Amino acid sequence: MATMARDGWIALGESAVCQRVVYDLDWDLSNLDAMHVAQSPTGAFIGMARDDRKPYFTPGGAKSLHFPLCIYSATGQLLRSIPWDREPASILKLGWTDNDQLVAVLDDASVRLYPVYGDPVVLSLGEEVAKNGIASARIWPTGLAVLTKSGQFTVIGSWSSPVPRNYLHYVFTEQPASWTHVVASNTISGSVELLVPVANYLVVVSEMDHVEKPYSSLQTVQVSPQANFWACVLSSFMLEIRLAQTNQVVARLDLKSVVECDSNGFQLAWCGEDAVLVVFAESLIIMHMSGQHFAIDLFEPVILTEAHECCFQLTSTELTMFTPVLYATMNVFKIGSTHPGAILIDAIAHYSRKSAQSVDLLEGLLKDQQLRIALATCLEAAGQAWDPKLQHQLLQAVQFGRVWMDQDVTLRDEYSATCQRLRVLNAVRNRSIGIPLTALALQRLGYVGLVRRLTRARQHLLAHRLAEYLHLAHAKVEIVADWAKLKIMHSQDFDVNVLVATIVARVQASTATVDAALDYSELAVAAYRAGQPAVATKLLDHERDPARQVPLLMDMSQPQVALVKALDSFDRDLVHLVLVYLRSHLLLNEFFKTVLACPRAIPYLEQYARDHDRQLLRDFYSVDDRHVERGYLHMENAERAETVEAKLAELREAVTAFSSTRKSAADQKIAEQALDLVHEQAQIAKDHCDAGASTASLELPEGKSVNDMILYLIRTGQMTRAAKLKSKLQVPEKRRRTKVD
Amino acid sequence: MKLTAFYALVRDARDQLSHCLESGTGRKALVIDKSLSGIISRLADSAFIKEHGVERLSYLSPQVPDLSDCHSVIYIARSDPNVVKLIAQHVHGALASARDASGPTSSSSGVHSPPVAVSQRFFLFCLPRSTLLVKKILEDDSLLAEIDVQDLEIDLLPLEHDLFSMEYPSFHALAPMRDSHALYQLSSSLLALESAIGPFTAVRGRGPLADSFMTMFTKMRAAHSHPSPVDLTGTNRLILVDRTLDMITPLMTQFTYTGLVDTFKDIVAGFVEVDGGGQRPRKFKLSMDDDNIYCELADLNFGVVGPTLQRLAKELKAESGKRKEANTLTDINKFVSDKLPELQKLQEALPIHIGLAESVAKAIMDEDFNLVLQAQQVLLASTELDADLIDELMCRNYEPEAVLALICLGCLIGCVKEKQLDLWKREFVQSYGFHHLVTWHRLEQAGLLTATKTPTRQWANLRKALDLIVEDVRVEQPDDIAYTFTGYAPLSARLVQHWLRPTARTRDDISRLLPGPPVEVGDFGTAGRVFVLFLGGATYAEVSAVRLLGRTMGADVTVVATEMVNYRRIMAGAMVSLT
Repeated sequence: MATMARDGWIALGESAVCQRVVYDLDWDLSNLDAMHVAQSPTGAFIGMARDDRKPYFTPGGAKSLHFPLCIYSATGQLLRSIPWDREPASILKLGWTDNDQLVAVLDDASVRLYPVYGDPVVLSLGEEVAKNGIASARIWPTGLAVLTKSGQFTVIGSWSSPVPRNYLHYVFTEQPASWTHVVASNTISGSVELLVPVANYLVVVSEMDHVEKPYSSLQTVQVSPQANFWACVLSSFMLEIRLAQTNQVVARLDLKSVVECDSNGFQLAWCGEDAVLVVFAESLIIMHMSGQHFAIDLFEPVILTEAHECCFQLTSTELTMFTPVLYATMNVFKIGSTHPGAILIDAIAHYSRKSAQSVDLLEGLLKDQQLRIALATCLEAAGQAWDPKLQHQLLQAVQFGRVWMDQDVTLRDEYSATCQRLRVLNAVRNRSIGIPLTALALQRLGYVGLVRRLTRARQHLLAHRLAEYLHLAHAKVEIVADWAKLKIMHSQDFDVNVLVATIVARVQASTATVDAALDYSELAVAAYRAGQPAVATKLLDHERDPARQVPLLMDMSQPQVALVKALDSFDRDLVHLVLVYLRSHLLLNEFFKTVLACPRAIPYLEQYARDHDRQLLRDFYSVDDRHVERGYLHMENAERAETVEAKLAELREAVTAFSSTRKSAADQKIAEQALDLVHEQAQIAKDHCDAGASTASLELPEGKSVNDMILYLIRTGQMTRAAKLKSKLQVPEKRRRTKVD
Repeated sequence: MKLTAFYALVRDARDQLSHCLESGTGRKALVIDKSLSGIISRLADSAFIKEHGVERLSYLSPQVPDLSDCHSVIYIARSDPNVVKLIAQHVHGALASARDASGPTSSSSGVHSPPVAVSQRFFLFCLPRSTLLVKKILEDDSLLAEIDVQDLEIDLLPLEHDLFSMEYPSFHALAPMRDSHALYQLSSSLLALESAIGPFTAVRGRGPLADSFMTMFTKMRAAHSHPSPVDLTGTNRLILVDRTLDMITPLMTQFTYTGLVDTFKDIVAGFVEVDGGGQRPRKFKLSMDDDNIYCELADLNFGVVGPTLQRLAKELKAESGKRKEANTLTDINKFVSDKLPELQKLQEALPIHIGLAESVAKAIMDEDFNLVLQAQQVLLASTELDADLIDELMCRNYEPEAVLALICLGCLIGCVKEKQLDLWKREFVQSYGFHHLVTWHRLEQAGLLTATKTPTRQWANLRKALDLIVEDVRVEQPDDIAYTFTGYAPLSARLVQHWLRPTARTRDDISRLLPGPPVEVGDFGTAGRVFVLFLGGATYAEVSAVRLLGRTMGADVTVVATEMVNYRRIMAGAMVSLT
């Protein structure tokens, strides 16, 4: 078992790096060095495009002059090909974001983000960059940086708010040969920092500031994934690993003594935090932190991609992965290891050979109380193992040893969690899925992250099964939603009812056991955008939240349905929204017709219009033959009117409105009296005005009620006027008497 | 600790408010819609607001205040299109002046002055939540990018431990205009409450509003079924009091301390205006939590308020006198640390309550007021309305709200004939102004001014069946809810009493005499908290009555009302507003 476990190990002193061919590639490509190639951080996808600056020869001929932008799976299957022959700009650099979007930096200073499937997002790096032109670019999972031909950096620090920031305070007069970046989370300045070797300096540029550190003739720097170390290649081809904090040299290797060096286009990449890989034209050198190194001959061009905890090496035929051998695995399988884990494995081996020595070994472990450590180490090693056979054997060893530790609940839980994790890992590593995921990468991604990734890669079935297996209810809903969207978009010649029924049945089947509700409105939008309004409407019927439903229905020009849904929701604001929408999209007559066809909406219209559009309410009452209501509305308006003329006009309207039915005869009379009163008051005010300047001191009768008015006239000695008004407005005798007394 | 609904509400509301005030950076200005000022100050004092970096505080008005020196402007308003349009104007104004300031004209300023134009950020917090219409208005005004619109989800204002109000004027809306928005809002706030204190397992109620509330509540609960983060088990019970079943009580003159203070001094969001000692009047917070004197007075019949105040004053004097008795240093120290803050609080509150009680006493000594009061009592007890009195009051231009309330009461009890009503209508508009024709119309629509065509014994039967008139009511240490209206037991509270402890007889009577449909969900039982929902508003006297019921029947009762009402507010609500 131990020998099998050590397959591909490159021993580097006390440690080792494992070199493993993960997949043979299905593609038929040969000139990788004439291409832009970028592999996504999990290794799942490979983006590829022609590098226009390099000569490209194919046996095929003219056809391949227009090489499209391609996305391949890690097994070399073409997933997507984006035609590039009509694009005006050429690609300068490819890269991937941490959520699997292919990033392409173009020479017109724009950046495109292509999801594996779906439409790209286009960003601009700004006019400054466009004007100056891009000299070089770097893309990393959370951002990118470009160096303009004028020697300034422009950086996008995060994809969630992709605002280009210009680092204008430092200008490089000469184009540096190479430069690298440190992500914002690893810097003290809190911004992305760029490390640029210039002559005898290393310039560290941050957003606000820059530092020039004296440094002897650096060629290239590469910061380790956790930013603890720098790997440097000096112009003398001395490879050094330095502590990032103190600049102290940890390990050093004279590359010239090992291989033939060529400063043209060597690649430098980290393998975890443990080792550095350097690729020259014909060889690959691995140097460990301890200074131990190993060289591998290369027979064709390779491309290195640094991931968080490993390094991918791509050739035209296979995908290879370099991973540091982790501590637990090392302890168990290192030749001559005396770690309890190794002893346990040894014991099992003896046991299977029916050798009595296994008993001695196990007793030794038990006596020293080291079985628990042995089991934990083997379990950890099992979790890190790639080969299912090895995993199986390690797990078997653990199960064997567990007999003595059956009270240990933690161990039991860890055991089942490891099994679960390995099942997931083996499923996604399978060639048919093709994601070369390490255990550490899964830890970083999380199960939900993995399932999302699978969904984006349109591996719905596996994603759904994993979600089911891992009890991820919400993720399951997401998967089904995504699947349904695809289904809608790609269905042709179908029966609307059948399609919707299929989708709903599937959704209900997968959400039946959980409380998570599916956002049908999102599906409806997708359907509507895909030119399937009928499907959209049908889907919306299943949406439970009217606040989502109603605006969509309006967008889909189904205002009548929207109105009914809004009314069903009891939410006044939704109803008002629909009414406002209808009002602005329909002619007045049609608007009224629509509202009147839906009697429940009438009170809402009245209420909205009373507060916000009184003219509309007036028209509505006229159309609906509600003249009495209209009369009251005019009475109300009269009270609010600011001028006497307006008041009189409103009152006259009220009289006319009330006169249209006999039922409101009494109200008509009151309105007429009000008209008379206001007339009278206006007359008196006018008389006062005509009489001369003393008006200011005089109390004006405006706004008084009838009783007050009569009292006022009597008090000001206008008896005849009072009597006249009294008879005109039919004021009962009794009341006046009481008042005057 | 078991989370009470009160603390859950206060905590959530304060969290919301702090989130609101924390938005933006730099110097902050807070602009509040005036109608919300009570709600905001109930939850947060000025120190709380200052703590969050707010330096300028103003009320929203058509006049644009100059806030150009503030980096962030936070508006708090209801989701009312008119208010939002006003805010949009303000923001447009601010943006325009910022553009002007950054123009070439200002570049001549001195060397030391910082850049003139502060780039401002605007926030709009909509209470209780922003609506699509609000967003549409801002979008049409192309301001959606400038203003950050968020929700300030404060639905229920916790006035007391056992009293929450939505402070949403709904009495008129619910009945006449058939606008159920208040119910919608109440039901969404109850859903929120449910997630804090556990589900409502049983419901009792009766009437059309109760029924439509229940439909809404059930439907919304189904639509927003989110799994609760904690497993909440508890028995919370609901009683739905449908205002349309009892319009009489809110039109009556309440006779509890708080009820009368509300009637004459107008309590808004738990604040009442009191004399500021020569300066302009100030707002005084009525809260049983902070104020021991109010705690004693709140539910008392006004008849015993005078003696109680006297007793309290004496006690206070005696307590403060103890300071002189404290001779040793430790005694004095103990007094200062234990008693003094409490005493100071009492000493501050006592004169205010005396002042309030005095002004109420003055108001109820009024001769006409007493005539109205008598008329009310006679009306309820013998189903007769003194028509001459109403004529007389109108002639004397007596407070129109009181006159209308009395007429409405007559109609509700069923003793006003059509001819009489027409006559009163004419006289009313002639006495108080013709625009009251609209007021009259609105009250008609609300079902408050309906003439009796054929005489019925409806009220008499109801009165007898539910014991609504109680002779010889005890106002000191009351044993019956009738003490709250000195002789009249509010119908609404009698219904609550029935649902808390139903008997076969009352059940029959209620289903015979009151309109349906009945609402019955779950097994009501006797355990757990009871929430009494007043759909369409509650009076403070009813709250006192329900408190008494809770005490005598050993139930933990909380009143939740769409708003706090009294006859004045109801009548004023029907009158044409000029805004």
